[in-house]
This record gives sequence, structure tokens and C-alpha cells, in this order.
Amino acid sequence: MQSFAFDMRGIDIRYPHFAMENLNLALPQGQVMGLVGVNGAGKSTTIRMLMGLVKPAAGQIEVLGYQMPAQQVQAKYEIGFASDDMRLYKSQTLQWHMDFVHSIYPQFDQAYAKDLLKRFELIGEQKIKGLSHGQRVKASLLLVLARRPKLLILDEPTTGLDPVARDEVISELAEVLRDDARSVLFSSHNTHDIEKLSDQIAFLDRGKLLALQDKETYLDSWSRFRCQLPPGRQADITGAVSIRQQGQLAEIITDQNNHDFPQRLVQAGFTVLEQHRMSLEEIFVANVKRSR
Amino acid sequence: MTYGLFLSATDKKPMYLQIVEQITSKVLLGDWPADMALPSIRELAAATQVSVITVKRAYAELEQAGVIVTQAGRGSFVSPHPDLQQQLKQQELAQLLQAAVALARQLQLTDAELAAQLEQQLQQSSAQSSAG
Amino acid sequence: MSNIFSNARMIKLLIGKDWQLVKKSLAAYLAGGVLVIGLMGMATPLLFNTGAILMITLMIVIGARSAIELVINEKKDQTLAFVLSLPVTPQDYAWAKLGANLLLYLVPWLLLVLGMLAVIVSSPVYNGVIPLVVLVSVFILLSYCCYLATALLTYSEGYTTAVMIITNLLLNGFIIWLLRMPAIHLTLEAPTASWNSTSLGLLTGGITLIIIVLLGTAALQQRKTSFL
Repeated sequence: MQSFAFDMRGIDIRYPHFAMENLNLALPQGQVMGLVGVNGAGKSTTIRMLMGLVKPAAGQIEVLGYQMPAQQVQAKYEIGFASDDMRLYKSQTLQWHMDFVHSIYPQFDQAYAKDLLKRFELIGEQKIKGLSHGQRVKASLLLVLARRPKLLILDEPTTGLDPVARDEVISELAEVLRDDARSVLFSSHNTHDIEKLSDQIAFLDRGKLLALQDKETYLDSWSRFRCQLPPGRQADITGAVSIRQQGQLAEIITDQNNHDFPQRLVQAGFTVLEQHRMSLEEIFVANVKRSR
Repeated sequence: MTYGLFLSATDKKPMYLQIVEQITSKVLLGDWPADMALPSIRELAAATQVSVITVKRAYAELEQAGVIVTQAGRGSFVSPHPDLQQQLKQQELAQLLQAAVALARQLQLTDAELAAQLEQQLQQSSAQSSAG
Repeated sequence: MSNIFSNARMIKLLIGKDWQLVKKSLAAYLAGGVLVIGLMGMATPLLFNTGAILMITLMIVIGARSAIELVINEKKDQTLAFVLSLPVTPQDYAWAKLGANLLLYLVPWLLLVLGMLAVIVSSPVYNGVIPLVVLVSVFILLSYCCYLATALLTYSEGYTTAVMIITNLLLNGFIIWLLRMPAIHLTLEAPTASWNSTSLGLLTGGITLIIIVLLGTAALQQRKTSFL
């Protein structure tokens, strides 16, 4: 039996301007899931439900084997949560926060925390109010990483970070990959970070799950073709997500790319000039446009 | 420690393919000798900051190509096959020829024309080596 | 109100955290309180009255700061997300907030009231003012409970400030109302505190209202299901 880091089933939730219907989302233990979506897609709502802070109108949520929100206290001992809109106490130092977190979680590793301080170039004695945005984000992450939680939930961990800070954060996240008992869910609109680190990709748009697949299969299934058509022909082929045509040239995007898709293009009378893999960002845009 | 792999997100090739090619060339060059233990999938993923599933796929392709062998519970090793380097070069040649054929089709050359061009290349090459 | 004690360890840690956040400013206020009590102890009518006004101000300021700093700012400064990511339920959090606020206001309040009473008893000030002092202090405590309840239930700075202003206006009215009561003002210059049925009735009424407000707040907090 496969064990799940989290398992959400049949989730319904309804707000005045937002609804989620029958959402099913699960992450096998030891994997990294990237949650992609524009603002308002439902990423934060999903994360709040996983943290037990929002109770869905219907559906089951299990996190690390605990029922949410009923068993959230036990679950939260093993979840590490950080988000870009989370703040620490301005008037206190980072060291104060480290001691506070340590008093709550016995497994907080002071040695690892010291190590992270150095690598993130933070000073324990500095008050939070003197920190830049990047330093604040790194400080929150330090507090979470140093207790090695079984499940890391990171809401936009790299948003607003400069490239160097982002690289530091990403390399610490990569460290988590070494342990096959630890799982990560992170949301981002920086699809580049997600493309790199995720095993699973979940696409959310307007409360709907557009796709949930392992990254390799997913990236492979999308492709962009540049084709030349016989004069006067209208480009049309089944399996295309989008077709843009100008004169005899057409750009065709498909999410059903396999060995015979290029052949089908040829059979339809098109000359394939180029075939490109698509980045997650391009796929994201194409996917959202199609579903709307 | 990235195990000497240099992966780039701006490379047009997908990450898994970059790993496959770079490990293959390490083996071809003999930098990674036969029977050498490869880093575990998770280890390599963490070191190169690439997802586990990507490294998994790269190892699967490498195994299929005969570059590495995986033993359940022990991990992956560079293939001990004595002709491995020869075999890999053969594969590379086959791929290049395949690409040449595809290009010729795009140029709408006949098979005879392609064969003639290949013949010409062969003659030039032997002429150069006898001259040098 | 099922689980006040099921997560007592975390509630205690959260209260301890709030104490650490306000201990410095609280110490400063209490130092101010000692000064003011000293002023009242000079026992001249001018200094006593000035001291009394300062004391009322101090009690209000401590209460307002505690409610703003510990409740409203937790949301405004976005530290709420951090606290709720810890192993607590939103209800545990609410209990901790209620506990921390009561503790961090009740203790200084009690110290100030006892200090005032000690000065009155040990100085030439007429002990007859004691019922007035106690009743005004209890009214301030009741006001505090009202805007604390507003803060805890709405997390809205606007509503909380509104309740603060209203209760402060009512306090002026309350003092004038008390002073006009024969049962109060006739005994002000008596050598001993004279508790009569009017003052005792007002005291009981005040304490009952405080308990009702607190229990009501706790009950309403239990019913909240969504936080953040």
C-alpha cells in the first residue's frame, strides 16, 4: 500500500467569489509536488485546508495519516509551513524565534539551525524589523527546515527573492530530496523553480484542477510545432490545444504529443518545419487559455 | 558536489537527456570506469537540484542503453560490458546517420543522391588520411 | 468548550510568548504607576486629583496597548499565520489569547489598584474615597473586557478602537454619575471606607458584567471555524 503525505478527496468549498468542487489531490510520500496557478486559483485555499485552518464544506483530508482539521495538532508537529505573507515578531530577534520554536518542537536541531544561519547569511541577534524581505523569507524557512518536518508546505517560497537568495533557498529544498520519507508541497508562480524540483505537477485554475501528473510525462506530452501548409489550407487537426495561423505558416500546440502526432501532421498535408519542447510556463499559459 | 554534471535550464534539451548524455560521455571517456558505483537517485537529485523523477528517468534510459546496470537493493553501476565504449560509439554513429537521413528527407533528396554524397565524404576522408 | 486542557502545553507556551513580547513596555508602565501612586500619596488635593487622572489614563493605556499589540497587531503584522502553523487549533489559539490578555492586564491592574489603596490607607488621604476608586477601577476593567472581546472576535482595528472610544466616553459619564449619587459623594470625606448598599450593588453589578462578557467571548470563539 502506498502511503500518502497528504490525500484530499471530494473537496467542496464555496466562498462568495470562489468555489472548488470535488477536488482530488494526493501526494505520495517522498515526492515533491509543485502547485501552479495564477493568483486566486485556489492555491492558498488548498494549503489552508491542508493546515487545518479552513474546513471544507464536504470531503476528506488526511495529512501524514491524520484527519484534518480534527487531528491538526498532532499533524502540525510534523508539518513545516512557511509562506511569503507570513511574518515574524518585529520586536524580537531571530534567535528568540529559534528558541521559541525549539521550545515547541523537541526535534528542532540547533546545530543545523546554526549551519543554516551561516548559509543564509543571517545574524541570530538581529531584530526581525531590520531584515529585508529576502532575509525575512529565509528566516521563516530556517525555522521550518531546522526541525526537519516530514511534510514541508511552502506557499510561494521564492516570490520576491533576489536570484542569489532564490538559489540558496532552492539548494536547501534540494537537500530535502535526500530523505525518501520527506515530502514537499510548494506553490509558486515561478514555474521555473517548480519545473526543476517537482516530481508531480498540479495545475489549479479557478478552483479546478486542470492537471495532475508526474512532471516527465507531463512535459513530454506537450509540444509546439511550426508547420507549413499548402496554400489556402486551414490548419486543423485533432489533439491541438491551440492553432495560430498566418498565411501558409501555422503554430500548433498539442498536449497529446507522441510518436505519431508529427506523422499525423504530415498525413494531414503539413510540412513540419520545427518541433519544440515547451517550458512549464508556456504550458501553463496554454492550459489556462484553453480551459477558460 | 554535482558529480561533474553541468545541467542548464536554458539548454533546449530536457534535463533528463542532459544527464543521460553527460553520464554517457563520462563513461565513453573512461572517467567513470566499469563497475563504478553511481550516486543514488536521491543523492544525485539533491546534488544537482533536479527532481527525483527526472534522475529516475535518466537512469532508466541509461540502463536501457546498456550504459549502467541497476541491481535491486544495491544501486546502479557503470556497465561492466567489455565492449561498452565500442557499443556506445556504434550507437552514436547510428544516431548521426539517422539524423542525416532525416535531413536528406527534408531536403527531398533521393536515396541514391544521399548515398552518393556519403560516398563522396568517404573518398575525401580516405584521400586526406593517405595524403597526411 | 471541549478542549481547553487537551493542548495545555501549547497554550502555556503561547501565553509565555505574549508575556515576552510585552514585558518591557509593561515594566515601563508599572514604573510610571509607582510614580503616580507616589504623587497621590502626597495627599494634597491638587496632587491627589492629578494623580487620580494620571492613574485612570495609565490603566486605559495599558489595556488599549495590550489589546492592540497582542490581538490586532497579530493579524495586521501577519504573525497570525506563523502562530497558526504551530501545533495548535484556532480554538487553542483563542484560549491562549484570552488567557494572555487577562493575565497581562489583570496583574498590572491589580497591582495598581492595590498600590492606590495602600497609599490611601497609609496616608492622610480620606479613606472614604476607597469605594469611588474601586468602582472606577472596576469600570475600567469592564471597558477593557469589552474591547478585548471586540478585538478577539473581530480582529478589526476599527471596531476595537470604536469600542475603546465609546467606553472612555462612558467612563466620564460614569464618574460624574457616581459623584452625583448621595450614597457616594456624602461619604467621600469620611475617615473610613463606607461600603453601603449602593456601592456594593454597583461593584457586584460590574463584576457580574465582566464575567458575562468573558464567558460570552469564550463561547463565541468556540464557534468560529475559519481562521485567517
